[in-house]
Amino acid sequence: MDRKTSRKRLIILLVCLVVVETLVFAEGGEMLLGDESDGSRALSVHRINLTAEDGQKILVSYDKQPMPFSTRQTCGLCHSYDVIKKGWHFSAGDPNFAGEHDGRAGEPWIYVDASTGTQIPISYRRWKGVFDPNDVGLSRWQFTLLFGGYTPGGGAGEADSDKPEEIMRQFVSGKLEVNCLSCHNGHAGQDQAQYAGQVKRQNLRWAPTGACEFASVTGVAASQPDTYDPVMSDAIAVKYHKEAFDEMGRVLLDIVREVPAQRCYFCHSKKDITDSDSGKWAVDEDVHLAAGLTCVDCHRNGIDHNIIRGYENETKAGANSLAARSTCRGCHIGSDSSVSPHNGRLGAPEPKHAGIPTIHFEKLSCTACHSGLWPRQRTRRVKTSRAHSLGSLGASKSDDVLPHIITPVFARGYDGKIAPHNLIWPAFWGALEDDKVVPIDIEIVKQTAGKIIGKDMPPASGDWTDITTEQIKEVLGLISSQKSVQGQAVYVCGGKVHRLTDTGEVVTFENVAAKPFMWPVAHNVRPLTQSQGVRSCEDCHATDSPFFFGDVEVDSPIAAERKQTVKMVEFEGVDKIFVKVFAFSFVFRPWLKFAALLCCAAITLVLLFYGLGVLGWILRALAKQDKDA
Amino acid sequence: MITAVLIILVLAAVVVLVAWRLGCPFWGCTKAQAKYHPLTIVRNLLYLLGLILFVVLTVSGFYPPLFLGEELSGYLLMIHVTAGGGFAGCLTLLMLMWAHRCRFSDDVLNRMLCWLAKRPQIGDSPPAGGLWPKLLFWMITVLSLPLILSAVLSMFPIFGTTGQYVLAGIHRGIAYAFAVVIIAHTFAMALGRKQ
Repeated sequence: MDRKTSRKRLIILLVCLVVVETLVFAEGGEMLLGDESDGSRALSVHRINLTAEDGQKILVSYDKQPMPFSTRQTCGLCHSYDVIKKGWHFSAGDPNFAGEHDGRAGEPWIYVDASTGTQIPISYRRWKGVFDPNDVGLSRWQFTLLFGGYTPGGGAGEADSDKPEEIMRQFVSGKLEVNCLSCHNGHAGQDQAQYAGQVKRQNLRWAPTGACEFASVTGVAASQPDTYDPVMSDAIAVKYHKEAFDEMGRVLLDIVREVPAQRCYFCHSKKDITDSDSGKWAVDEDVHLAAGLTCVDCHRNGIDHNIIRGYENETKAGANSLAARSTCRGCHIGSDSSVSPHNGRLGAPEPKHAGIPTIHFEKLSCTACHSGLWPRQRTRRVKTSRAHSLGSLGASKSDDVLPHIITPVFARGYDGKIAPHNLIWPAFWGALEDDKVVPIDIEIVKQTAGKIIGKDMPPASGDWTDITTEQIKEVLGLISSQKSVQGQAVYVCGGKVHRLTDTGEVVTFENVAAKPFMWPVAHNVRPLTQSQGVRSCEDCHATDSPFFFGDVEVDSPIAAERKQTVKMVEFEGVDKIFVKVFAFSFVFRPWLKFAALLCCAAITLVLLFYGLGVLGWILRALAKQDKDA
Repeated sequence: MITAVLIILVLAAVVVLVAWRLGCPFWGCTKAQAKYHPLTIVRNLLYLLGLILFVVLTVSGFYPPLFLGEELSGYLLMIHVTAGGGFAGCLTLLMLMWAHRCRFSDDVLNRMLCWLAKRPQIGDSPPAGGLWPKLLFWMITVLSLPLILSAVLSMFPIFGTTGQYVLAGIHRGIAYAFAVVIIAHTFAMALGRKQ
């Protein structure tokens, strides 16, 4: 063997070793200190040094211009960051995990622009009815700036942009790393509103630092030039509170394993805006929280952060191994097939469901009777944290502000069962090609629809700017003239698609793209005594019950369309006539029960009357036998 | 409305039975007169209605589980419940009208006892003369009680989910037996009429 060959072999061997090592590490083969619990239920104290994104320790006493801490570097020292970032809350916008564990539809992100009549559900999740942000021309970078404040980082916030102008901006802003403190900081000073504000300012690398209790951030990355160097300049400055650090430069982080509900609430709050007494002080919490549980008692996860969403059949989406027993049914009823009983976990009472025919459990989800707002003749509207930036500085407190989320809509869910849903009617400018409607880039929409509809001053309430048919005609004409738009220009709103005919008239037609997007409501869970059907069957089975015959509001920027409603039964996939007749039969149900009981009484009397006769004969026969003997 | 009529009919039948037991004269007509007596006509009509409702109940009740492998629901459930109410009423009225005719006299009971004990008495043959229709009649009466109760009790907030499944199981099981007995009774009646 010559020297050349042996060197070649050595190089091949080294390359193989590197590849194997990379694969092992990529699969999370190496367990870090904090990845696995030793079993102690005691609180793990986190008195640690902070590390910047370049791997340098932050020494508050010496650094004149300290950098923001990096969670990847600081937390990642003991916890496998690359494993965590695959978790449910972080993976959606990450191109590496697209489509993984998407499961049942959840709340989408909603892109809203009143000046163009746009209200469109978007998500990186592959849910039916939502649009990929890329479809509306939103890059991951733009998506992060719009919605990143209501994420705990990661996902789209860490993705590399392929647009030159965005690459430059990413150098300035940094990336929005997974912010462990968003959830796990138990300190009252953790300020998610500040975090959301930092994201809006493009201070992505500064956002976790700016939100925590022991530091403050000044400066705005958005106003810095593309050539801004965060190491050399102090235009964006971090000021650490020195008293929070010990003599070794360590800071005591109030890290909690069991995330408090207050942390979840920043992104998962909801406000009923129809009731005048829906203020925070007047509304009860979810019955589970009121009973002393917290969100993470049910929504659990391990180091992979594959959190349990809590719906039935979640395990099919390759989720958490505890998912099956963490549903309503899992805790309250249990499963006959499991080796050991799981019902009654966390003190969950077993429901009796007295008098409820079992067909209900096949046709309805648990939430149909127990969750969401009590249905009324007309649906109501809610504001949610993520859609309406609740809890952040400057959030509109108007009840009319877009997007308009309608609830509760009883509709057939992913599993074929009827469940309460939130609903949003999409409104967007699109292109029709081969019967398929796709949204148009929002920049084109701004240049066309924005010029025509945006001319009018939008209402201060944040509500729709009313759009007229003439305006639609004008905008559709303008969009059609755009070379970049392929297909026929259309406008989707109010459940219909509007297009121009050859004669220039606006006509409407139905299309799947115009259908409302719905996502199931699980919270708040109401107390038992406020369950649907608790008063009588007529809570649902009445000829005018909101459950079947409630009016679902149609939302649209076109004033005339807003007067329309759709009956709830249309979403439930049941025969309207049957439901009506069935409900009507409940008028006679008490009579039927009375008559049946009367029949039973009469039959019993007959049986007793003649049965006693036979008994008398037997007694007489026995007495005679006795006498004969 | 139908239920109200049925309630009135049941009450009327109770009154008739009591009156008859007290020896009310209108019942004491001859056999030829009895054939065209309004009560006989009502009884025959009730029997016919009962049979029709029985067919409806059998088809609506057994078709989904036996042929489609599904639980009873939708229009069929509605038909089943409605027909069930009517059938219960018919059944009760017929029982009230027939119970006395189908009673076991001392003689029949004696003969039956001898036959069961295999003791030769008057003859070695089982007591004929409409015994089977009578026996089947009383079987129907006995079975009808849990059959109706298992359906009606499930409508009250008494039994939980397990109880509901048990009630449904009882209803289903008894319905099978009940259907067989009804068919046998009808057959026995038809046979008796022919003879």
